[in-house]
Amino acid sequence: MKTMHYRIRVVVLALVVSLFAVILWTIKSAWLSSGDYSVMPAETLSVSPPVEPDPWSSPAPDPGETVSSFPGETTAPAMEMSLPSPDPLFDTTGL
Amino acid sequence: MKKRSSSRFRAGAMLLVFFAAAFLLPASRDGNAKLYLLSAVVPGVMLLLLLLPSRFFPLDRPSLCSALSLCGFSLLTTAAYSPDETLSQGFRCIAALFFLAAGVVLIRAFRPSVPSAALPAFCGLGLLSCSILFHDLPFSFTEGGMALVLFSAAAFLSLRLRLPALLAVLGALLLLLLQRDYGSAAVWGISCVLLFWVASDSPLWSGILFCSVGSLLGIFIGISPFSADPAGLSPLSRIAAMPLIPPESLPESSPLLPAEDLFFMFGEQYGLIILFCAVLLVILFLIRGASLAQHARKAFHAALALGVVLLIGLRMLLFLSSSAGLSPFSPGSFPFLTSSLPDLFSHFFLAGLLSGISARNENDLEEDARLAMLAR
Repeated sequence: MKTMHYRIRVVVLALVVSLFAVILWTIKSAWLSSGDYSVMPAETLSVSPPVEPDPWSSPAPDPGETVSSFPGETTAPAMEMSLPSPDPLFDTTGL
Repeated sequence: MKKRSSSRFRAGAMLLVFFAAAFLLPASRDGNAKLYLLSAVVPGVMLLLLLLPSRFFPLDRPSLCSALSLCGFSLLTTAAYSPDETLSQGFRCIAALFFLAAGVVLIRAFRPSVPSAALPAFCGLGLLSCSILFHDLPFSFTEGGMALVLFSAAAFLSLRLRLPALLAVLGALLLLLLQRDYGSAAVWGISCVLLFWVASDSPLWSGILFCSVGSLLGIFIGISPFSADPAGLSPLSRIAAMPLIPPESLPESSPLLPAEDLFFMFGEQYGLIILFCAVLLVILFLIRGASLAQHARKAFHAALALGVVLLIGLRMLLFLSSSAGLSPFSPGSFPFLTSSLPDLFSHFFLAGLLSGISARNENDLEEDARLAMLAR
């Protein structure tokens, strides 16, 4: 009877542990298949570095269009930089 | 003792208040008069069932509370969709309580002997063969048959008659496999192998049963492999779509309630947290059954309590693992949270067996105390 009680304890413990394992697995699988990761803490999210556009993989130009010989080079005229006009209230040139 | 009874009273009161509030929530949302009525009737009936039957039968309060709470959850699920369906589900639960009483009476009256152990085996095998002989039956008596054969196997094992127990178990397994109910067959096979390992002294018998169950399952599943239904929505996607807390409005669903759908509908309505509480209630029921098996004085009571725990626990394990996609077989309905009448009957019958064993354990303890007083 003592051996029987010991075995009952082992069987029920294994059953309860496997039940909790399956519950956790179900929650994990359901959460992954729902695709909602908003509750995950920010530090556990894997942050991928920003992907810069590859200039060599630009789409093929139309026939007849002139393209620059180097990637990223633009043919547009350079923009002139203009400084903003000074505020008369803070004008200290007359001091 | 007084502190223990006051904590019991508090737990019971909390349970009743929870169910009253749970029915009031959809009633105030929909303005349905029937739901207002149910918010008063369901906790009242639960209170009566907790107080009155224990006057006539020695009931085990923790397992009765778990079973009644799960029935209350099934009523909540049906109430939100169809208040009229709740009434029929309530009658099903009350009818199932008679089987709980039958289980208690059976344990009190039963004395293990060869004829008394063979009779439930024949009844159980007859119930299991009903589904094979009569194809157009509206009910499936699988779970009732399994409960009776389990009772018989525990009685044979306590009498150290392992061959009749083995034959009864293998006969039931063969009938389950012929019905192509592979989920129930897997639950039955694993439960019986573990029961034989615990209850028989020699490992030879559990080894023989393990090989037989493994080869039978392998042969039958190899002949006609399981094929998933591609048209239906997978259980995992239904669980994934469940909210954490009860949503504002009811999800659209069919008013027809298939037995295994009640679990998922309950989760869709009340969220994952309350669904997890329902699963925890069944686990508490199992732990209570295991504690009764531990404290049983006779080998028959210990084996039977362990068999009940294994049958219900493995059924829930396979149900959840098939929902998670870990197992291709689904063993049918979730314990107690079902609308199938024969399944409810068999679940309450198994709870009644545990209640009867609890009463026998208490009698044994009282007898021990009396003998100890006489010895002084």
